[in-house]
Amino acid sequence: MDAWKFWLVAAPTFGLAVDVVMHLVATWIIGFRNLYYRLLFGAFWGGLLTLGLTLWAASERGLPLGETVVYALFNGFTLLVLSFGYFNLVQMNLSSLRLRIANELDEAAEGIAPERLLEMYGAHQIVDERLARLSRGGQIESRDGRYSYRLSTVYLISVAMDTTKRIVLGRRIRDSFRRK
Amino acid sequence: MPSIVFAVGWFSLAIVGHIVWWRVRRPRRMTATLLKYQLAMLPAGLLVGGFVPGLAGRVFGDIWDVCLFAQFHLACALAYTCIHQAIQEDSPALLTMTFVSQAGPEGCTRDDVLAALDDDLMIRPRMRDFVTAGMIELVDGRYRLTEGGRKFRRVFETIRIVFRLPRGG
Repeated sequence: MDAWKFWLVAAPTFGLAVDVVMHLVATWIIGFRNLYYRLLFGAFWGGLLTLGLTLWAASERGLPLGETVVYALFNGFTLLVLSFGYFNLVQMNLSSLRLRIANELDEAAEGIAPERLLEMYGAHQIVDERLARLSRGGQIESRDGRYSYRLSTVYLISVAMDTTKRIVLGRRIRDSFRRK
Repeated sequence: MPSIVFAVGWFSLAIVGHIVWWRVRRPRRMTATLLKYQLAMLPAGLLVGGFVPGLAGRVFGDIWDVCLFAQFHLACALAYTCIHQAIQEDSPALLTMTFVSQAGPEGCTRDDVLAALDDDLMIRPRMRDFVTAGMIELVDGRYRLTEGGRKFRRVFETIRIVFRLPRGG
């Protein structure tokens, strides 16, 4: 068994473990209030460990520089992908409408009528929340009751998602608007 | 090194296969089907890399190459499933941002957004998908959580408590 290769290959998994642990440290010990700072804090330490382990194991195995760089990039990308999955798992608690509905239904033993659910979580409420959140975060501009877009992170994400949707599903986000 | 090239190439091939499948005939339960497909592509990749003449003995030199391949494939498969879920059902934030950006430099009002993004677009499809996934059921004209829905809620409630998250949605 090549022990150094084990560390070289397993670096992203250990990086994810450190990401989760440091996220918990940021949450319970340091006490960052902002959720995204906590996630970033975890991701930073996870990335550092992944890179450190990769470089250490590569040097112990005597890999040439080119191969070391390839392993570092590959492991960095693998950790990024793992962290993205982890981020989505955590983020779902904040943004999933299904989860919100599941919480409501859990508390209502006799169930909830569809019309009542729509009153509680209708499009009007969701649109208001999103417009407020996007304006607050500087993702769109709000002036005199009118909203306009600006070059922002969410705008770039929406363009990327729209392109992916077009490739995979053969339709665009705006096609949903046309149906009306 | 060959295992890295193979892992990247195999996942790319899996994505191309998935796009062709979806463009020809989209499955009813897309997320579940996509997950099963990606998980099935893992042993398929191990067989191809391990036994196909020309690749056998070159792609997987030892057990750690197999681990590298499996780790990369699973990580990418799970992350891609998250992305796929977001394109399958446009998130409210993306729908709102796209509508606002379509309005051009003069912008739009809240009423314009609400006229285009109504319950039929944003809420009812999610409720239907939630029923299809077996998380909730319609009994005597009222939605109720199924046992699967309760488990789903419990998992995320635990995550919420562990990470001190507010209740969102």
